[in-house]
Amino acid sequence: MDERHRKSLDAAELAGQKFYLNVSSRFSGMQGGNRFGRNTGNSLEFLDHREYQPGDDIRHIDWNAMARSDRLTVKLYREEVAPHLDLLLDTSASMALENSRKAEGLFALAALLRIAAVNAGYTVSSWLAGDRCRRVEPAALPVCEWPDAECNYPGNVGQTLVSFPPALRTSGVRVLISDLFWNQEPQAVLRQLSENAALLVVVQLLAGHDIDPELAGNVRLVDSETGETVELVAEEALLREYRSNFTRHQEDWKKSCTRAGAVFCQCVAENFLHDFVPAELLRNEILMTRSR
Amino acid sequence: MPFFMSPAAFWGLLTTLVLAGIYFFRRRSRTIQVSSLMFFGRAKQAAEGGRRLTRLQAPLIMFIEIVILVLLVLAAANPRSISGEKLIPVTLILDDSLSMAVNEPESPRAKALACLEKVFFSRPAFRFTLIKAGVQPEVLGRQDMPGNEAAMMVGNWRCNSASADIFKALRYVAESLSAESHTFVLTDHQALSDYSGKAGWLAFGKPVANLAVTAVSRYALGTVDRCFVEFSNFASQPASIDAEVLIAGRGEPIERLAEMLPPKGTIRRRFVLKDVTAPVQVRINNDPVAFDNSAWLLPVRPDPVEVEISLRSAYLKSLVEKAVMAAGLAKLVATSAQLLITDAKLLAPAERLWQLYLPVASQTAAFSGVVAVDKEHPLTAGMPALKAAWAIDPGFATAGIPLMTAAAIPLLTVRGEPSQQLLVSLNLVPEYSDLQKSPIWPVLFWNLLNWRQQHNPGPVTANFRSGAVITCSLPPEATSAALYDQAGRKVEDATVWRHQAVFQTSRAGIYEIKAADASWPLAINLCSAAESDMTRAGWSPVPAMPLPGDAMQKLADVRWWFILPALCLMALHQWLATRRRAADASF
Repeated sequence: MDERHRKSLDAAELAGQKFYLNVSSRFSGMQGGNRFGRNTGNSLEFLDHREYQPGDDIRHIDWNAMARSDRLTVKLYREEVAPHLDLLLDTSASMALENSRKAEGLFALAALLRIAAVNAGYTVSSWLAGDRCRRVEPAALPVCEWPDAECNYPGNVGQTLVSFPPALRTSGVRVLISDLFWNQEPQAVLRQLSENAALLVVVQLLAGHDIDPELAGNVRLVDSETGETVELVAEEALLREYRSNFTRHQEDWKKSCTRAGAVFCQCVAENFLHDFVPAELLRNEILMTRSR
Repeated sequence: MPFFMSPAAFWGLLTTLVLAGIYFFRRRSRTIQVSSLMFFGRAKQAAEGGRRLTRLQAPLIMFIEIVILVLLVLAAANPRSISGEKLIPVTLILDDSLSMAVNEPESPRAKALACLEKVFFSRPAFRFTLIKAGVQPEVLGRQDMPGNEAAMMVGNWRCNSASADIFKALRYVAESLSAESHTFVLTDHQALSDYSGKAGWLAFGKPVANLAVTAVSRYALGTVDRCFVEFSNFASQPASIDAEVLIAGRGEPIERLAEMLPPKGTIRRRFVLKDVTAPVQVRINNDPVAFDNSAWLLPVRPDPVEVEISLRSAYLKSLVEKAVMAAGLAKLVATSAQLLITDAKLLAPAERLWQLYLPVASQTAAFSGVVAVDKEHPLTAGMPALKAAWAIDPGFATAGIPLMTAAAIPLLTVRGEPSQQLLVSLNLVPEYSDLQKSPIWPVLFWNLLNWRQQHNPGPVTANFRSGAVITCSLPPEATSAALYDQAGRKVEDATVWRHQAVFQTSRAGIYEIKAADASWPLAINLCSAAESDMTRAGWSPVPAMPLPGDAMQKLADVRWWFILPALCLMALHQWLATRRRAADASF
């Protein structure tokens, strides 16, 4: 990891202090925890009163209030949750594309999310997805010290996630950061990742060239993962074709995410590294800005 | 094969390099790494099927464009058809005189050959006729040769003629060859100021100071031979001459000459040679132009004619004997004569026997008036005007060609073939004539004996001027004759007609005529003041293309040969390009 990456990670971690990972309402029903959830629960922290409704635990009936108002009132307590974030990073070779800052953005975004999650009381597990999904141990290790944090896997990470799924925490929040340039059905991957998950967030991290490649004249294109080459004349028709295919692929992922209850966000590495503000994650309220 | 009128247009071929450069730089691929090729899926599939097509199409289109460019450049070079009859006829008159070979390898001939190679033979638009202008014009090879054949044939132009009659060659060209032919004279001297012919005159010489032997002769006088030699200085400056006359083979000088010759001056020397059998050589030792520095004089003593006089009239016999002996060309014999002078002609004469028939008159008549004389005949050549009384026999009748006639009565007739038998008849009554006292009488006998002597086997004389016709009578058994040089190489085969061999060689030197078992030495001397005078030599600039422009314009314009295929290729190019664009647009 070179000096520039280290500086980016430092900057990302610093930026991460401004955010916290929102607590998902899906944590309801969890037994115990180290912080309060959004919903009512079984903690000792009083939240509110409301009228009794059939099905309410009769142990929560506020008899004093009933005596005063002659109405059957129950006490509501805040829930207690123990949130966990599973951070999955795609380390395929396409994430380390030449002349792009994808790899730098990948680890910077991971660092930012880790800090944001810690800010929200989350425990965090980080996974590097290559030929296998390897958990980063120890979990508290700063990103800059992660072993084998290299994007050099030449295969299909989607296939890895399906065939060799990581042991993810039940009812945890899962964030997948990848360019999603796989020849893999999104449903299979999403099904695997969203199972028993409180929330699945898919962050498509792209380079600017991935969205709008700047090609002109005769070009020999080299696939960063397979090394396959193709010689083409980069004319407008070809670029149109590329953009059309890319959009179709992205739309496919978005629809699949919607179907799987996952949140899809796009992040352009160069833009993110510019100000370290993950705009789409904020827009989708995955991250929240901390009040000072 | 076309001929290009504007070869400068070939610079346009550089555009093909520019085009190839454009293609090279356009087709050079940039290598770019992309995250994945999955979004180039259709393009990849098209490339799989279309890569070959793409790879083939681009070079094909480039190739077609280059061919179109080349064709247009060729068309711009103004091509003309040069096939068949449309070739331009060119006649080259080549001066074959010795002066063309002076100062080798910088001789006028060498320069002319270089000019021929550069200006004429390398041009495929011409057909050539080569005329060697020597003493007589001579066609080298055949008429209307292509350039390569003419280039080979011009090697036979050796420049060894004693003189070059350019105007005779020009007349020959005018009379024998096509009027459309463009004629050029290649010589070493400039055109005469009054020359107004159409032929192009290309001169390659330069003035040279020259000393030369310009005249030699040797003749028998009694028991000795007398010789005559003339030396000339053709320079406009005085020149010293170092010359000698020597007995050839012995190296023994019999006459030396070391004097100053005035500008354009001559010196003549006469001397007596007692050894009548010795060949003599005359040579100049201090002149660099070698071809006219020497001459040979061979012995000039032909065999005397054997004469038998068989006349009944003692008076007439004495007259005839006296005339025969005075000529110095005969000796009297009793039998087996070559010339029989008789008053009773033989009805069946021997082979090669000539008879002078002097009939005895049956009647006599006197005649005064005009006598018609054929002065072209050897018998009457040089005959002085007749001022004599000639008594004749009016009843004289004999067949033959009359050489002298008076009032339709033949005085002198000749019949027969000199190489076989000849009968000369003289109608004369000497008792009443004084013809025998006039100069006609010895002249008549000298002519007769000389003529007969010339028909003895061998050449007429041993010393000839270069270019002269050499006639040699052959022995009866010989049917052919040839001329050999001093080294024994055959120089020329003779043309033989009625036992007369005719040669015409112009190269100076010592030769030998061989016929059957007989042989005769022969000297040929240049002795040509016109050829030795090289002060008229000059140089004229040779234009790059000494042909009138309209001659080239007459060739058929064949630009369409190139424009038509170019148009077809343009259509093909357009179709291919349109197809490619359509394929691109379908992505």
